[in-house]
Amino acid sequence: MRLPKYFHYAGTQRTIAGHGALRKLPGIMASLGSSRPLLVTDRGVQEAGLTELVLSVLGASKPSGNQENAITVSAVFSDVPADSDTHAVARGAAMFRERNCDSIVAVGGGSVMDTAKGIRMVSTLGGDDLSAYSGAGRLQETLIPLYAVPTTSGSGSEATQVAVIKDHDTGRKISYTSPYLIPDAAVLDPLMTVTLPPLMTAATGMDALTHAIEAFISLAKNPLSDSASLQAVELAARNLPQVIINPHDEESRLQMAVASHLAGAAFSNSMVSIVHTLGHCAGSVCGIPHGICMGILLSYGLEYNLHMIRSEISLLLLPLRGKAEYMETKPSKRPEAVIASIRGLAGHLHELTARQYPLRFRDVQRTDGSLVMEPQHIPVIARLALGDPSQFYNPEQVDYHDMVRVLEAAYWGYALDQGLVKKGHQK
Amino acid sequence: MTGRADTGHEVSTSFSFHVRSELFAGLHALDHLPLELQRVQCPSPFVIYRDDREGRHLYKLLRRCMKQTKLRGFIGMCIDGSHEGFEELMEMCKLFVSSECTGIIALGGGSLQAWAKFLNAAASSFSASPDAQPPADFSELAEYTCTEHHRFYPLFSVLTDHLDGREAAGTAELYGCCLSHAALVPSRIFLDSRGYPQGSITHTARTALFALAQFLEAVRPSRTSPLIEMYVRSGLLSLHHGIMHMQSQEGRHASACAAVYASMIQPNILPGPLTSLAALCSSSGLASQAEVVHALLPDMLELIKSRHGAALSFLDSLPVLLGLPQDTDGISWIEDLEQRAFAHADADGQRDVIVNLARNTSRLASSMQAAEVLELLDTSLKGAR
Repeated sequence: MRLPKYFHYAGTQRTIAGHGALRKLPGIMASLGSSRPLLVTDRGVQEAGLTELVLSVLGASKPSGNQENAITVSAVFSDVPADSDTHAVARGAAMFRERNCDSIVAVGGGSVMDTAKGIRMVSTLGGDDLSAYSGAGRLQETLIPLYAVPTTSGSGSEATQVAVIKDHDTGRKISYTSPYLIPDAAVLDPLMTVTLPPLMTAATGMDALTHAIEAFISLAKNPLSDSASLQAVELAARNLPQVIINPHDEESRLQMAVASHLAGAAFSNSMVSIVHTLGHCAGSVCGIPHGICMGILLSYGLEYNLHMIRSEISLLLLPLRGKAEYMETKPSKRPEAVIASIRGLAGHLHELTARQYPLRFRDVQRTDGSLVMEPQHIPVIARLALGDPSQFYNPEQVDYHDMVRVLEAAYWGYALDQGLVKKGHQK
Repeated sequence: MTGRADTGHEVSTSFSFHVRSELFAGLHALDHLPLELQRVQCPSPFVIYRDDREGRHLYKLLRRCMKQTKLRGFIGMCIDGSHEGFEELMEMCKLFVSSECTGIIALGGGSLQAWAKFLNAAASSFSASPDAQPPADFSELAEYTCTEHHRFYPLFSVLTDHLDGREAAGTAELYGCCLSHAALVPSRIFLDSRGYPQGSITHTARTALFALAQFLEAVRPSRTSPLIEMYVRSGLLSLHHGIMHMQSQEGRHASACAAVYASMIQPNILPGPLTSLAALCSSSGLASQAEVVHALLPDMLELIKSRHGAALSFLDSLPVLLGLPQDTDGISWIEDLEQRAFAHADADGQRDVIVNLARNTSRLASSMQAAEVLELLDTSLKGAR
């Protein structure tokens, strides 16, 4: 166990998980004095009938405790884009004020959660200039209550102190980090994820696995995030193929929701590294969905850092493959076995999704069959990645040429040449 | 609802888990305290510490951190912890109120933290109803405070590595009187490695024994969840390092990590029969916590195994991670750990303790987990005969 000299840990206030967990939401809201929430969601979630499900649970609530009235959803804000942006936050905050809301219920994936966090900041602190709170630790006040009901098992945003919101005018993604952004409660109910299509289930699941593994190798790792990472890896490795084979397996859906939640808590406290550095930028330049980027890049990111993290990633073989395989594998071969296991899992997802889930960037295609990413994008992504703050938590000190090498390997789908990787001294 | 892990252990996936405290751990963790006081709008904290080498050391560290801030200053009060009673608590409360203090900083281990929680209860009760008749004793104070919407002052717990996690829970026990309220949980916990005490291996070993029992009791299937299980696994691994290297800084750091895991678990579980009994015996003067744990741990493991089948089989994967011989099973690893800790705990043997406890069963049966406690005692007594 690598012990940091210092660490700080903040977690979700309440995690309510299980079959029927959603029914507990009104009681939790009442205990925090919330009765007029703004429901933030997106159109996809609405069309899947999930917003209606939450509304019916809240509508059926009765006054409890010291509450005078039952919970009444004051307004539904569903105008959330695929990437949360400042205009969406401003529109949501205006609705919050006009309808005299007192809290927020976020029902959706990462973008909905981030938008809800933005609305929460603006509605509590006033003003429309969200950028005043950007960066780490600038937000120092308790915010209005936020209740998170995730509908994907990937972003883990319901457990994080982070929001990434695009500046609508400049197109730049700006991050906001503060323990005060952590939702007051996270409700993990398998009913909310059973309708997620296989490709999105695979991509978001690999996003969760990447959060857990990157948190485990990050320079800012700590004993509590390690604990959450290991549990998340075990749950994701065991249940991700299962939820694609049988999307209505509520037990496995719930385990995936818990895995994603724990992975979110882990990376929220120990940060991520090169896989996210490159993934953020591949997403920005080419528009490749975040989960797809994570699934493609994860094994290459580990391969790149291998000389720095052999002892850490050896431990991951136990949650990934179980006790028997861990013991059968020579200690010196365990790091490579972990990478092979992750590639094996991705390959399995590729087959289970009728090859829709891509294994390399070259295979990511638009609906007309054209390539989303071309080789000439690689230097552009690598240059952009030099400005991404997550690289500072990477075990190896990353430079432009390293990023190009990793991206090229992930583009063509060949193993990274360890002989060409720079051996730096960041750790 | 349960899910079966690779290890065969059944883990409840319908659960609720609360994280109420923010944690600051490691070197110079205490330097973050002044900013956190400002964040919760506590300009004038009341500091409580123990009048011993460890307490004075922590107090000195705190003063150094506070000097660099613009806070109004603070009232410091040291206690002996073993002689003070309710009268002293009320004196402390009067000083708190007259000095217009806005929160509490508690420097030290379990009993000091318990004092801080009782002080919080007394001071917050007085602020809520200044004209009300003051409570006459500890139990009246506990009753008065236990309304659902009672508002406490923010509590900042500055801990050492002599911990078992109860410091982070919303409970406190003094003179056999129990205070329990979810909002009594410290809002911030600080574990600064400069505050680790030196040279008290006996104390460390005794705390390790209690923590061991607590981790094992936390995984009883009716109480556990994936979050509790993960902290138990990590906690036991840290405890292993702490016990194996008890005299080194590395060992102290590992013990502190185990305490961190325990503090995440504690607010989310009810005490098990062994830990309840150990705490009760210790406060009643029947036996020390270490003696009770040493005497009854094997029986507690047997009871869990017989009651809940594979509940402890997840332990088998932990020796593998520690690189112990492949045939080491989880239970024998735990028993070995317990023996090693007990060797340093400066405590008496097993049979006399069990017999003594059995003689006092009627006193002990008032415990919250009476039925489970009695079953455990009964099993142990049969074994001892």
